Order: sequence, then C-alpha cells, then structure tokens
Amino acid sequence: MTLARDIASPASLKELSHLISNRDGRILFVCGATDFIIDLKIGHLSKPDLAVDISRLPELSFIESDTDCFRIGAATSFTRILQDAVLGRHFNCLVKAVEVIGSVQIRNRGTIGGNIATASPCGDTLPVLWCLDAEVSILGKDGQLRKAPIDEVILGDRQTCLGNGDLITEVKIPKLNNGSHLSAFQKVGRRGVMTISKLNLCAVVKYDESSNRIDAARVAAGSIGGIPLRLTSAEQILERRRVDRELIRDFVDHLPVMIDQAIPGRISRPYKRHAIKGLGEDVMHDLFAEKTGLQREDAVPA
Amino acid sequence: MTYIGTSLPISSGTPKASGSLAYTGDMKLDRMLHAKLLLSPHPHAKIKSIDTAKAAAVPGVIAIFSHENTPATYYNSALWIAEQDFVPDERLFSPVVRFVGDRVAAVVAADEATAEHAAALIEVDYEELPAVFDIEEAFAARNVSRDPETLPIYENPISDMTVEYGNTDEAFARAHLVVEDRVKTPKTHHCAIENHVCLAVAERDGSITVHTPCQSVFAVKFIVAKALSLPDDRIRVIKAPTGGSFGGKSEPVLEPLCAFFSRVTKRPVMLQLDRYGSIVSTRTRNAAVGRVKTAFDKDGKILARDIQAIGDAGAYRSGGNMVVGAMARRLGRLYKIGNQRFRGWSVYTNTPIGGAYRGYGSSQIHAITEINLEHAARRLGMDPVELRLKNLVEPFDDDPAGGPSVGNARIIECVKEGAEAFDWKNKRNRPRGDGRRKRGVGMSCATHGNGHFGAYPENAAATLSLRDDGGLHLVSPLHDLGCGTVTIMRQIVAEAVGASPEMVAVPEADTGTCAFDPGSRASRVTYIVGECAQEASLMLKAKILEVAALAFNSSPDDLTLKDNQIRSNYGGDRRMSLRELAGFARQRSPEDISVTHHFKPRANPGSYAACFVEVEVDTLTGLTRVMDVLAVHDIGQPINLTLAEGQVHGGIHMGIGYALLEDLDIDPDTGQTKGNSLSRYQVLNAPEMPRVQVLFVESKETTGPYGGKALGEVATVPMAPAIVNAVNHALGTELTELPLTPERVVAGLVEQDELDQA
Amino acid sequence: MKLDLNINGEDLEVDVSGSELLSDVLRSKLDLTGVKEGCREGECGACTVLMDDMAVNSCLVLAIQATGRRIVTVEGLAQQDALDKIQEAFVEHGAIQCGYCSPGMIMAAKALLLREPRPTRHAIRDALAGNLCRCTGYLNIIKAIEAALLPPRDREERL
Repeated sequence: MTLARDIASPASLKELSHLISNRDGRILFVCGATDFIIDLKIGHLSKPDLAVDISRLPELSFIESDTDCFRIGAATSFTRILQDAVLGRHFNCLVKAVEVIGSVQIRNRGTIGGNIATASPCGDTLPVLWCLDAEVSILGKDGQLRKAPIDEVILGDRQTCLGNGDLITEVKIPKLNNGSHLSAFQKVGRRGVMTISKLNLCAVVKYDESSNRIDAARVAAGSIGGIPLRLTSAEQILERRRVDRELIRDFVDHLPVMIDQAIPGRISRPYKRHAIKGLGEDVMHDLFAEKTGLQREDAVPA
Repeated sequence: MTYIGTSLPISSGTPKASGSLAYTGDMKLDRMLHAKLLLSPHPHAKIKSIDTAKAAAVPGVIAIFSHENTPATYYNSALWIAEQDFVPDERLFSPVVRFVGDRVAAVVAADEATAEHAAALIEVDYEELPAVFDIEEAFAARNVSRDPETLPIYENPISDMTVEYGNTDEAFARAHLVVEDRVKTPKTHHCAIENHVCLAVAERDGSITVHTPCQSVFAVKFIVAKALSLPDDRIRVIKAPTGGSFGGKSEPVLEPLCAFFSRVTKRPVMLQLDRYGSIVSTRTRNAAVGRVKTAFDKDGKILARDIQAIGDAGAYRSGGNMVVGAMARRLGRLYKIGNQRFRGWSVYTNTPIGGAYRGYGSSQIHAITEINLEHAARRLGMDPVELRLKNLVEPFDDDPAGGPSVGNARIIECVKEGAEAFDWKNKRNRPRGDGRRKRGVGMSCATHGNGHFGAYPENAAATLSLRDDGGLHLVSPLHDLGCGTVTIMRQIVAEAVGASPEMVAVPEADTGTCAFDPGSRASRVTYIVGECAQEASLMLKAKILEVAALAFNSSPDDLTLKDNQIRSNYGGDRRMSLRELAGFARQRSPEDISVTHHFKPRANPGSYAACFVEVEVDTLTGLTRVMDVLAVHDIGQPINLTLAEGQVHGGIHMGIGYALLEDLDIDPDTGQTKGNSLSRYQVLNAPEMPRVQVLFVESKETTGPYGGKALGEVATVPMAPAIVNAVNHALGTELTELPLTPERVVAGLVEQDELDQA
Repeated sequence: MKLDLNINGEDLEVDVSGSELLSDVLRSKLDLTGVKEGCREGECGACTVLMDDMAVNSCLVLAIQATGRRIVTVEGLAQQDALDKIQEAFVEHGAIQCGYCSPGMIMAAKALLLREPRPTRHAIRDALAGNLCRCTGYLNIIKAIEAALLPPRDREERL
C-alpha cells in the first residue's frame, strides 16, 4: 500500500516550513516511523495527502542542557537519549522508561516527539513527561512557534492538540535539583522484555536525605485511560512523611483504590488493581533502597 | 561409529548465514504475478454478492477470484494418501464464510502492492449467521445442522470415539483416592518466522509445477489434483527451503489456490501471506478441554483413569478427529494403567482452523494428564517424582490399548537421572517463600510416537546410487523443515556405506523424481525414513563390495569400505576410491551401482522425555519467569548431537509459550482473533529464554537407525505441564487453564486469598 | 522518484515510488533477498539491517529515509567468499536451523559488536530482544555470538 499520496524529505526546518505553508490537504510528519507505518496499516491513522519525513533535520535532533532545563529535540531517538549520561543522572525515570521501549532496533529509530504525537495510552514516556512537567514546543503550519504543557498536548487516546501541519520541535523538561530529587519508572506487560505496557508507573519525589522525609511527590500511571493518570491521593500519602516500611505499605495499598476509581467497569481492572501494587513496590524500592537501606521483604532464600 | 552421535554442522548453514538461500518468497520468475487474499471480517456469513468492479479497474490487476469463478470441489486438507476418505468440507472459496479470516476472494496482479490495494477495493455484501466460538458451547449444540443449504452438513460433533480397556468403573469403585481435574489448552499459532507462501507455475505443456515449503509434496499433489479436478500426473510439487513449519505448513492451504490462479492466468503466481494471514487463515493447534479422573490405591499406584476430551477443529474439519485420536493413542504408553476409558470428540467452531502442530494431540493430552498427576501427588502426600516412578512403563511393555509395544522405553531412567541432575528433592522441599516472589519446581513426563505404524499405512522408499564422481545420491522424499533432516540422512548414509557425509547428496522432495512418501509428519522421518536409508545404504555397500571384489580379485567379505575408500582386510597398499570404483563399474560390470529399497516398519516404539523446571512467580504482577530447565530424553541414539539439542531447546521455547504466553485468544463476542499480530501474539524472546540442560539417556532402540528414535515432537510435549506444575507448586494453587497469563495467575491468587479468608 | 542510496558500500541510484519501505526496495529492486520479511511491524527482526552501523527494522524505514545513510544487509558482511566471523560462528555452533531468522540475528549481532566489543551475556540477550527465533530457543545463537566475540576463557560452559 502506498502510505501517503505524496512524500517529501526536507533537509532543513526552513525548507520544511516553506514546503508545507502553502500545502492543502492533510499533512503527517514521520520520523522513526515505528508507529507511523503500523498505524497507517491498521487504520489508527488515515492516509495523509503529504507525509513529511523529518528524520534528516539536524535542528530536531539534539539534547541540550540549559541552566534550568533540558531541551530534547523531537526527532531525538531513544537510543540517543539513553546514551546521554548527564540527562540520565537528572531524570532516572526517563531513562528507565526509554530503556524498556521495544528492542534495540525500535529504540534506534523511535523518538520522543513521536511518542508524544502518537499519544498512545501505552506510550511509556508519557507518564514520565507528566511527572516532570514537560513543555512541548509546536511549530505551526503558518510558521508560528507556540508552547504548551504536556497535559494540554495529549488530550486522550491518540488525541492531541496538534492541528494539521503542526510539528513538535522540542520537549523542555525543567531540571530537578539533583541533590534532592529522585525518580523512578516501572512497567508491566505480557512478557518481561519487548512488550507493550499493560500498566506503567512513574514517580518523582523531592526527598530530604538528612531527615529521611519526602517533601513533595509526583506520581502518574499510564496504560489506564487515554491519558496518564495523576495519582494525587497517592502523592498525598507520600508527602511530608518519613520513608519506612509503613509508608511503603500505605502507598502500595492505596494504589488499587486509585485503579478502582479510574477504571471501574473495565475488564482489566481486577488484574491492574493487583499488578499496580507490584509496580508501586518496585518504584519505591528504586527510589529509596539505596538511600535508606530498606531491602525488599522477599524471604526467598537464594 | 564415525558420524553417528557427532555434531556435524547443518548442511545448509553457509547459504543460510550469508542470506543467499532462496526461500519460496525470494524466488523471482519471469512474468511472475502476485496474489493477495481478501479474508472474511465475519465469523459466519453468507456472501450475498461480490462486486469486483473497482478492484478490477486498478491498473496492473490481472484477475480476481472468488467462489463465483473457482471450482466448487470439496476436499480435506489433512489427507496425505490419495485414497484417504476424509470428509471434505473445504473448497478454494466458499459462498459461506465460517470464521474471521476465512477466504473470500483473491486478486492476482503485477505486483504485491497493487494486489493488496485492489483486494481492499472488493465490495462484499454479507448476511451474517449465528456463530459459536467456545468449545463446550459448540459441543452442547450437538447434531444441529446450522447451514442446511451448504454441503456437507455443518454439524457437531465431527467425531465421537471411545477407547476402553479393562474395567474402569470397577477400579474406581475400589480406589483409595480419586483426583479429578478440568484442563483447558489454547488455540496457538506455529509462528514460523517465514509466513505461509506458495509459488505455482503453469508450464507450457499444461502441467503445473508448485514450489512450496511444505511437509509432504505428495499431499500437496493429491489435494491440488482433487481441488482442480486434474489428473495427478499433471502436477509436480517441489519442496522449497522451509523457514520453519512445526506442522503449520503440513496441510496444503495455499497450494490449491495458487495452482488454480496460475492455471487460469497462464503465468507463474506467487501467493505470500502476511503475518495476520498466517496466524488466522492457515492452521492452528487444536484447542482442547479435558476432564480427567484418576483412581489411586493408597500407595499411589494408578488403578484407573477416565478422560473426556473435546478438541476444537475450528471452522473446517481438517484432521480434527485425528488429533483427538492421537490423544487417545498415548494413553497406555506412558504409565502402566490397567483400566482406562477415553471418550473424545472433535467439534466445529467458527474460529481459525485446527490442523497439524508439533505434538499433534500429545501436547493437549499430556497437559491434561500430567497436571492431574501433580494434584494427585499433593493429595496423596507423595513426591511427584515418586508417584511417576511407581507407575511408569518399563522397556518392552505392551500397550494395553492395543497399540504396538512401547519398545525400549527408558522413561524411568529419564526421571531418575533427571531428578538427580536437577537436585529435585532439595529444590522441591525448599521453602517457597513468604514474600512477593515465590519459587517452585515442577516436572512432567511425556511420550510420543515414531511414525504411523499401528494407526495408518506406513512405508518409506529410498533410491541410493553411486555417482560417477564417487559421491552418493539419495533420492527419498525428504522435507527438511529446518531441523536438519538432510544432515541426519547424510550422516546415516555415510556411516552405513563407509563414505564421508560431504560425499552424500540428499536433495529434498520432488514428486517428479521421488516415489511416494507420506512426508514429514508423525515423527517418522529419522525413525522410518532413516531406517530405510540405513538399510538401503547397507545394500548399496554390499553391491559396491561385490563389484570391488572383481577389481581386487577377492571375495567381498575380504574388503572394507571406509572413508570413501576400499581396501583389503589382509593388508597391502591397494586402495580404490569410490570414484575409481564407479569408473571401474562403468566399464566392466553389468551392475548398476544403485539400489531402490522399500521399507515397511513393524514397530512403533515410544520416544520419551521428562522435563524438570524451576519457576519464579511474581505474585503481584502475575508474571512467571522460567529460571531453569532440565530435559532428559530417551531417543535411543541421537544421530546428530547439536541438532538434537537444538530440537530440545526449540521444543522448550515452544512449551514455555504454550504454558505462559501463547493464545490466539478469540474474542467471545466477535470471533476475532485478538492475538492477530506479533505484538499481541507474543512468543518467548532471547532475554527470557531460561538456562537449559539437555541429557540423553544411553540406550538403543534396535528397530531404529543406529538405535535412534524420533525427537522433534516429544521435544516440546512435557515442557508446558512441567511449568504449570511448577507454578502451582510455587503458589499452592491448582491452575489448569493454559496459558497461565499474568491475569490468570492473579485471578487464581485472588481467589485463593478469598478462600483462605472465608 | 530516484533515490541515491548507499547499500553494502556501493552508491546506487534506485527508482522508488513514494512511500515505499526500505525492506521492499532492498528485496524487490536490489535483489537483496537476504533481508527477510516476517511481520512488517518491527516485532520479529527478520528484516534487520544496519543503518549507519545501528540495527534497524528495515520494514519500518521508508526508503526515502535511507538517503544519506550507509545501509548494510547480510549480503554485505561476507568479504569476497569468506564469511564474517559471526556468520561462521553461527554455522559452527548450531545457531542455524531453518535459517529464516538468521540474517536478521546476524545483523543484530553485528550491530552489537560494533558498539560493544566485549558484551556480557545479558547484553547479548538484550541486543537480540527484537529478533525472534522459533527453531533454536536462542541458546546456540547466544553461544555462537560469544564464540565470535570473546576469547575462550571468558565463556561459561553451560548455557
């Protein structure tokens, strides 16, 4: 099947803007193509009049560290994100999410901008971007640049605020204070590796090591509804508390309640309300095991 | 022995590694056309009309086919001998579609993209009919003819069989303990990495040549002839390299279509399915539901067993009844059970068609019975290994169900050696853990056959010739599915003749040059075709030595043929190479150095295996990790050690999938296959494959080549029940519905919690 | 449209229609049928090629996206008639049965070698997560890759 009525591969943003500014018809941008090609085949996307390949644009593939934020080009591949050690030190949750997306082949091509534009409920970077207060820059068909917070970009299951010809150019993530912030991400699928998320969980906490206290928390779960779910009451359980076994138990025991509230009629609810406890435990362990010395409660001898 | 039991590298390794080997889909012929199928979106519907106008208008479209312009001849794709009388219910295209994925139409065009594009433009008007998807629901709707206007009558059950011996009821009456289980096994996809494909060429003389990665060139020939109402001799079938099959390419699914398209268009036609087509529109493993009741005395001796099993044939009959029959044939061959009753049915459902699949009934029946034994061990307070040892068959036991003797059955050794190597006792008695992750160990035994003897006609034929260059040429319809059949035959011939394997040529099956052979099925190739090849080799060797005797001026008994050379047993420097002998024979001897040997087996021993597994279950996410596997096999003599281990590794991979991951997963409302792509139908990948140790017990089955028995199917059979048993051991549950998906594990744990609290 | 592609070290001008996939162009237009097709959705890895030394699923690359990149298929590995050492190791160590996944596996292994000369077994398994095999159970494939990449003393006896 032909995937588009017409296709172009501009070599610069300027060329791209020029190309699309006067174009009629539906425009879709393609970069890693790992969702694009499949979505067209199965009908999640309908055939565009013009497909614009943005994989050759140097302006869209970068990772830059500014004073108070990181900026990641929309066409930056997952592999490239994983290779940036500085980025990784700041945002462990982002690294952990990207590490478990697909296979090496998929990560070499898939991009953060693509993950946002596809807006799949199972998109693994999305709950992370939610917790990190990411901001998305969008270049309009008319050449105007605008910015929007991530929760105003992703509106539902495969629904975004992007209009025809709107191109995501970069994602800005405010820096966390490295000394005081910890983050984690876990997912569960059908099998251990190379699997679509049935459920995922991200947590970012501001943690005072000297007093062993969580000052602030952001927690979001994905693959539950159309958009990541901020678990505000779970955040409240964590905030202003010391990290100990009781806290972990309170947090973990609360998660099923959130699932019950979020997807009361869903067939997958009995499973997800149970499995989220596992993710919750794993996230807490990833956040605090090193800092507090708290080990898992498993009593299985080696 | 020089070659038997070694690890000779697989013959076709280099062209496979370099990418130069042409599989069917890689072939390019002059004027070749491409066909794409339109598959049904409905589980059961009458086709009221088909409008092909838009499709036909697409440039490059050559022809469009549907029930309106193709033969209405019915056939049954499970047939492999021309005279077999299986009830035919399949045709090229039916006016009534019977499952989501059934064939509706085909476009033949200049290239694949055009054919696909045009197929999507065909407009079909359907009248939907009631459909049934669940096995037990289909079974309950017995003898209901759901579509009286089509032939044959579409009613359930397809088959109803009883196998019984001894006095089951009496034995149950005196039992110390009766343990009952209901086990469900899923409909699964073979998932060969090569999708289904066929290339048919209408030759100038009016005949048709079919290139296909099939498991029986003669089955293809018979079915194509039947479907197209052509005489047999107008069809030639050539086996192409196979990119995996596991039974999926055993039945001629695409070949009759492709042959017809080529015949009508008078051009070569390539029909390649995509993954969706391969999953839903070819064949699947028969799903099954089994109820088993086993009676024990107080020492754990099995007194009797009663099984009722229903197999899901899917929307067309294929060999559904044969799979159920195969389940029954295992019953008296693993454990000594004096009284047994099996009642088995095959039913139609409006779901993807069941067909041949590695294990063929053994996978289902062993899941049913071996899971039951784990539960029995628990209730008896016995170790599962001890329970097996109390009941397993011994060498040369008779089969009380009337089958052939079990032959040199070494399953007891498998279990004993395996239990020791696995450190079973200690692992079984270890604490399972109170925490989130629980560990358990499980084991299972299994048996499978060696060919058809005792059930269906069984014979093999081989022609072995000495070539002028001193090489050997074996003509026997071989179908190497990737497992290394060709390599095995080269080793057997080389060993028996006294040549080296690289001097032995073993072309694959071609109906144009080979005598009839049933093909690669029923685990018959090493055991029967191999034995035939070994006997033929010994006969050829005798002929060679007779001619050599003339050259050496001695008696054939005074000569030795080894490493391609003949020499005298009484010393002396004289050597004659096979090449020289061939030249000598050409000039001097009236004998053609060639034999044709027909072999009819008189035995069908069991191949046996025991599998020991350790798992770790995450009781929150429900994910099961297989940590460690030990498989012990009784296959007599492995012919090629690396290839044999490879079979076991692959069989374990498939067994893990069967136990934990794989299920076509039919939507109970729409009949759609939910697992219709590889992102949804997940097979085990490299990170998840556990450590595996493979042992072969030392023994010989004298009726097999160099003492060898079959391995390919038994390699997978015990794995799934062993895993289920390990999970149930870890969790203290009695889960019996495969696959043990995370959802099922969690549901089982939640239920167990609720019961504990009640 | 005409695309300038660099395939197996050769600069080629290939006639491509619009949104044609790289895997289709390699197989149909350039006769590089070592690039296999198993799923067309990036799950099986049979179509794996190198793009600028990185493993990618060619079924998920538009041909137009391959311009300006170095594409290497399995056919580009062997030097004259000599197999690459990964290919040789596959043949020797039982890593090949039906062979259909082998080109993709070999390319994934090659990409691993190029970025990590001495990978751990865990890294090897991970590098192969996107390459499915139904015949071998992966164990001999892992063994072969270790044989090709590591000196003998670093390999464990038992898989």
